[in-house]
Amino acid sequence: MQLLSVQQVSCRKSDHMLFEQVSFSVNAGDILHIRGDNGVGKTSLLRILAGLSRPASGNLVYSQATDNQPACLYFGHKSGLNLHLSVVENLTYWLQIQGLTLKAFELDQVLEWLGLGDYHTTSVGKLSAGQQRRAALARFYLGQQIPLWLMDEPFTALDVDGSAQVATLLQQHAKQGGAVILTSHQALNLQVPVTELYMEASE
Amino acid sequence: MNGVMTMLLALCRRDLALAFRQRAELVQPLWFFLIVISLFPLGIGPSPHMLQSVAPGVIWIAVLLSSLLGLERLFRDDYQDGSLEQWLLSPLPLPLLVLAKVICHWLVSALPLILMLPLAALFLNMTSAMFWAMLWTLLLGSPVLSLLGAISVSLTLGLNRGGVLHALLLLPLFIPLLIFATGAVEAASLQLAYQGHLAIIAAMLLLALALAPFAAAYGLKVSQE
Repeated sequence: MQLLSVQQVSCRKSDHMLFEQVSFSVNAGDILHIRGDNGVGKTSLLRILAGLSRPASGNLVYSQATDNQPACLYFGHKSGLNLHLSVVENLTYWLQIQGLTLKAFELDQVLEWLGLGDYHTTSVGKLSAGQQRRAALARFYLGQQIPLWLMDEPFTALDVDGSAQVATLLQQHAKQGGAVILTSHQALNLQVPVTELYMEASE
Repeated sequence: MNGVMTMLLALCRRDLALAFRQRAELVQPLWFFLIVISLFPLGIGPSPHMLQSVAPGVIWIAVLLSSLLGLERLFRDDYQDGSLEQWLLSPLPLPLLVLAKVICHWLVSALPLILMLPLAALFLNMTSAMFWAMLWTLLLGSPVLSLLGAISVSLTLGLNRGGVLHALLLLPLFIPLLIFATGAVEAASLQLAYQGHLAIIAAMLLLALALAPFAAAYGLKVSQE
């Protein structure tokens, strides 16, 4: 089952052509690992896939998108967490604004699992960088019903346990019929097949 | 439809909770307003007649300037921490999101200013007819400030410093509003009918209400490019 089809997408940053005519498709169960040097446009590609920026040319088709839930879950360089709200508040409001349903026990469980169990009411600004990344990644536990996940460097600033948890989460999601597109400079050690997409700087 | 309402209410609850948590920031424009108002009797002399004649202009200009102070709160933090990115992906229509944010912003920044109007009216020796006219112009006019402000903030998100730019962009746009609002209060001070002025301000409000959410939504989208 196809989730996303990318057709001849190009991206231009000011006068510089970042990449041209990129085409691929993502099916349920796929994990696509985008690799490449700094500055080749991995983040730009992910932002285009998420619908945050528009490609200079080309089309994106989200086959499974519906009107009442987001087409994808996106995790970028910015955490998306307000520093003055607590972890729970941030995640609860995020869920509601995305139109997803919240189960209270789920949220507790997720925070427990992420090692943030003691920080329910701490404002995010008081957490460490790694804890903030964990809190932001909690979105993926809460939004599992959304099939397409886009993750930009999900392993940055995470400790060994955290990375392992995220890796487990990715595999689970792929097994349950979701798809993950991620960028990472580290090799992924997953038990499921991973497709790799190498990006090279265009001249 | 039901889903959209839930999302909007969640957004409003979030913004109001945040505003409550950052009370100190909200109080600053109020202090600014009060101080500007109280500088005038010191600067131009305390003659009650003189104060009464400058009151409409003084209050409105103080409102315009203090509305600029808190304007950045509308989208700046959400842009910087990435919340905006997340909302752009949500199924919530963006103009509605903008409208909800503007309403919350108006509630926490403009409404307290309006509540301080009786005090300002006392400072500047306004008659009760002038007070009521002023109240009406503020109730109808201040949402216009927030709506146009949303466009300006959304367009300058990508720039590092929007502060002075907002003043340069917005103050000229506020001139018609200032003219009709002070005109209404002056008419009231002469015991004349001022419904015409109010109707024009209301027309500005409706126009801003119809167009600003779409313009600001476009600005927010562009800010992500």
